[in-house]
Amino acid sequence: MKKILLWLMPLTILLHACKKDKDADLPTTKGMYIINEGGFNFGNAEVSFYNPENGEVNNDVFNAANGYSLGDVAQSMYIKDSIGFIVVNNSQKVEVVKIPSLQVIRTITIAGSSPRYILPVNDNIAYVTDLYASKVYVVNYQTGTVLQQINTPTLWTEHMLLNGTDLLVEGRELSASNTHNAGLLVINTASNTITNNYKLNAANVNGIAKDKNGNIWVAKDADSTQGLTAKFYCLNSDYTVIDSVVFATGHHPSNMCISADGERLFYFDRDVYSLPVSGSHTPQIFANADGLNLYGMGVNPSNGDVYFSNALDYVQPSQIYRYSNTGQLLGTFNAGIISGNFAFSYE
Amino acid sequence: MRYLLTYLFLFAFVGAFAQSKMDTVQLSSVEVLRPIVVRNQSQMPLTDLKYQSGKRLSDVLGEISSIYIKSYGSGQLASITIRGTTAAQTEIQWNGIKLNQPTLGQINLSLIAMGMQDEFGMASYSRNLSIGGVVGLNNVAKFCNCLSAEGTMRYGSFKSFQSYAGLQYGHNRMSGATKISYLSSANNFRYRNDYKPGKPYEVQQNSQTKLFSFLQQLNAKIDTHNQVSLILWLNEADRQLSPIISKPDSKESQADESIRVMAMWKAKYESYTKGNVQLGLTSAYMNENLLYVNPEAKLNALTRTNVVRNNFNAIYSYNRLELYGVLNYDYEQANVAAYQDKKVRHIAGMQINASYLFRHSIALAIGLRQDFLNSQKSPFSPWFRLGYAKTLKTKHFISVSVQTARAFRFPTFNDLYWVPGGNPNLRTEKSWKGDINFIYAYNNLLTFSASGYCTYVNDWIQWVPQGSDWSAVNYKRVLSRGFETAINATNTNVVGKKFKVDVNASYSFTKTTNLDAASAFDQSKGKQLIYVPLHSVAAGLQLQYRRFYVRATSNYFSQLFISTDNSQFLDGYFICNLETGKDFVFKGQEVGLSFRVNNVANANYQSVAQRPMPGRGFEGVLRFKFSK
Repeated sequence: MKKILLWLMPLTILLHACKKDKDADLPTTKGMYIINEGGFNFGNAEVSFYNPENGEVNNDVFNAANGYSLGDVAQSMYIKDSIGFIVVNNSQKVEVVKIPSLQVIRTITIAGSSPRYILPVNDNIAYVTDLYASKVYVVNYQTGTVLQQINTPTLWTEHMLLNGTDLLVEGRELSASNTHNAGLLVINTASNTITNNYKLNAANVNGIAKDKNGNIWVAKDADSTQGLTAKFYCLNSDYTVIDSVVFATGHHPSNMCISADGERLFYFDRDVYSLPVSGSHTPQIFANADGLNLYGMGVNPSNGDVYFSNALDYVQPSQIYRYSNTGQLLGTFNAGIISGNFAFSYE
Repeated sequence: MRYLLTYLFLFAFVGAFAQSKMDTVQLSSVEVLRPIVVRNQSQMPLTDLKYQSGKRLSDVLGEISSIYIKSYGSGQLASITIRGTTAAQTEIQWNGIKLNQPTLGQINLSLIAMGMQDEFGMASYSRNLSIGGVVGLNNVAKFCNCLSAEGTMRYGSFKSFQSYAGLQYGHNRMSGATKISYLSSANNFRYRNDYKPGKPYEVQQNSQTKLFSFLQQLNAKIDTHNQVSLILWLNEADRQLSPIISKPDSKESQADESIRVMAMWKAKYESYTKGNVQLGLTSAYMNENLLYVNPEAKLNALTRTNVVRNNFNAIYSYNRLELYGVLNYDYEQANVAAYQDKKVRHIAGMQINASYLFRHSIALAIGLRQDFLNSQKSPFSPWFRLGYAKTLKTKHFISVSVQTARAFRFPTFNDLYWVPGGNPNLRTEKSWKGDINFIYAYNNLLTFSASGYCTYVNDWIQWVPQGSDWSAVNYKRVLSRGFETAINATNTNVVGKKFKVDVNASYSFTKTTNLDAASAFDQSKGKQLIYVPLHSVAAGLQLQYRRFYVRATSNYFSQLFISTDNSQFLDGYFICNLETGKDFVFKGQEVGLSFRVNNVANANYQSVAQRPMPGRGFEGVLRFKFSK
């Protein structure tokens, strides 16, 4: 028996050693981190690093920095000074990492959760939204513990934005309905209580951003079952609607984000559009996206460059497009599977 | 021997028309000579079904053949990939009746317990029945003045308990069989977690599985020409769905229930001067319920299907000619919340086939098939085969054949009606395929077979992103081509030998590539499809002295790509199993004891990403057969 085992072992080792190991260089400078979701249940989530100065791309940098795989469905990343937060949705965790090296400081595991986004509000406390729960988690990222769960009136929660001491949270429902509570939730960060829910015609919120004037832009989904078209609302700091942009039937703006100077909104609607936050709000094609499967978008806050991803068939590395803030194509490169989120260490 | 081989060759041609003969081939060392099962068959005595009862069909297929079984874990979802095609493109048949569910188009092979059927086999030849291949399961009507009881109990690592018991009874006019099987496992095996610092070994969670099966068969000979059978087959499975490696926990579960009732009538009229006529009518009702529960996502999804399938066939054979016709009608109904309303469809079809055995051992066969889905016509599907077989100097048998066929697959209910993403405008998948086969056998001691094949599939149905949702589309053209070979050497059929040796090996090369790019940036064009291994090998050795035996079986699968540009893959893996035991026979009663080591080398492997498979495990087996 032992002889047989001894005979078999080299063959087994040989077979398991056949995977190509790629050595990725760890980030040492400032730049852009690309969060590659990976396929659902494939466990191939990863982080790519792009240096805009020399155009170098390093893929699989998380594994290279830490010696283990990131997990399943990396949803988002947020950078606060020298700390990065990588939210790994289907692994129920947030990896807290050093910037720029990506070496893990600690792992925040939220059992039974499905975390989507994280937003630190000071040097200890961060808020985490959840895809499968009517909750927002309050965590201490210095200790890795969950301090509190804030119950929300909506089915699940998504993007967040800090407005003074108010935490604005997208509250989502499965479909639009007057009896549903989909809207913009306002959480007071001092008391961790929900102070308001701005429903804005009951459709789902699909993006929030703050412009150069301090106004809050809220994107609302179209919902054909309720006869609702998509709409962007502009709210002042008191959350009073002061302006809006109505989209025609058939348009589905998504992935709304703000330009570096706060003067334009960018969003996907088959192509990549820009829309001035003031004046006539006339949308313009910023980048033609014929034949692309647009998936994620980010804006470099230091120079205004716009990045977006083409996820292709979701089962091969995404293609990343880099445009200047004037709409000039500066380059393309490949990252990981389903690149969905961009984080900049200039922030 | 010469007559036997000639008979088998003839049988392969004329019998190829009769589904009951063709699609379910008992894996004995003789019958596998039939060209229709040239691929992947094991020719070892251990494939005798008595040694396999109490296991899951997926485990048996995975062990004795080089066919890739895509398994989500021990006792979890397991599907088959034949010649690079999908599980939905392969038909799983029970007495010639398709078991594939109309919702998904496939069936979970881990929910079929071995022993419940008397025969099983598989075929990947180029016929017009399916785009991929056919796996057949048969319950046979046996008429004899006899009473027998048999059973198998297996107990082993990971709290695995597998059992089967069967009773056969009857006389020359009436007979019956009662069978029962219970399989359970905690599946609490250890695996390496590559998603944690230090890659620690952890114990698999939430992975308990249970499968209960019951089968009752009654047969009656009405007269010398006619016989009828009635079969009830029940299955109930409860499975916890284990989390992927990178997910700390899961509370997902699935319950599967199936009630299958089958009625069969067979008639046979033989006349030396006018030819022989065989008639058969098989009708089956199948009710299947699947409940998927995911507390985390607040999901409680119930899928109900009711299916009635009917198959009437007639065979006329006279001298060297055989004609074979089939009429079939299927009623499919599904109740799924995501469809928004109940879906019903009717499928009718007909096949006409003819074969003739010319002089000089040349045989020619042609077939035509036309189906209808509601009022929609399927692609007209012809089939053609030309073969030659010869026995030389009484000891050498050779056979060469070429065949080509057109085949198709209707979209499933999920493809058509799932909301969101179902596409009612989907076209039927279509394929052209062909193969060339060679067999050489020497005096019952050595058998060698080789096949080359090519399958072209158009309108391949795939779910792809369309805006923010996924949708089913006729997305791809796929070309699959490859080479398969198998060799078996044995002296087990030599009378009087006390020391017997049986060795076999089979190899498959499967190149399955996507022919189209969705856009100029799509890197998947020309690349191997995901989860199709390029190389696969199965090998086995059995040494037997009197009734004591030692067996080893092993499988190798090359890397499995998990990205369509082939930049990411799972490592290839090699699995070896050992078994030793002895059969005790006393006055015709048989008791067998054996000890088994699964995955001897303790290979840490996955056949689906993030779904660990068990490492080394031990198993004790008690088997008996008493007959009167």
